[in-house]
Amino acid sequence: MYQRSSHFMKHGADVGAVDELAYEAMADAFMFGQMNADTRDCTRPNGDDYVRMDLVKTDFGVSCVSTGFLRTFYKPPATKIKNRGGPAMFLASECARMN
Amino acid sequence: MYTCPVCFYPEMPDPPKDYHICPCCGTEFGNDDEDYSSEELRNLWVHAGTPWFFGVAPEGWSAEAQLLWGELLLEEIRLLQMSGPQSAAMAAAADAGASAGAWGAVGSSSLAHFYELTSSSFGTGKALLELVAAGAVRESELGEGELE
Repeated sequence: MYQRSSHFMKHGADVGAVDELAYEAMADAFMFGQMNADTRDCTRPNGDDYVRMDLVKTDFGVSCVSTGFLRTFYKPPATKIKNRGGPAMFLASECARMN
Repeated sequence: MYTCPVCFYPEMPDPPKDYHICPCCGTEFGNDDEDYSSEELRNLWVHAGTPWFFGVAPEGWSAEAQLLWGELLLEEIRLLQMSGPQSAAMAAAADAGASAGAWGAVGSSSLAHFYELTSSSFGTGKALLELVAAGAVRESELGEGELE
């Protein structure tokens, strides 16, 4: 519960969630629901991190393959995305992460 | 419990990785520390006024004491690395258990014990070596040339 609460505190406002439950519902829908046409996904080389990103809205999430739990769901700052070369490059760098 | 490598809070409920968030400084590990070192994140937290991130800070919590304790750890690490081979750190870590366990060993003290440490002479150096071996402290935090 702490992780959900702390992630809501950190990212809730950015993704437009009004409370913890809404944040969790948004994260679940984004990570485990049907992907829209703007969303891409990948699994990191460690085989355990499943990543999704909406390249237009720039919503970003990571879940754990082995447990099925969410790890995080947030909207990276525009400067962070820009520094990595845009949304597609941001996602590519996240997908390639070894740690 | 685990020690935060950014603010040195010793009672993180989860390891500083896998997008876990420190309740003290709010660092999300795997996110915030992708583009900034622990030292840089610490400086940002200090410049923001060392705000407590989650809920209410523990009774008696002092950001200054916590940072002082952490800086003492870093200083002892510097001294140990200047005076001995890095293999000493690895040996100490192996002696203490797996690297993940080393985090726990460092952060296992109760808050009361933690505050006791901040006001007393601290250090057999073993805990510090565990921190180094566990990767809690980056070379950038040790200063140029000090690892040579």
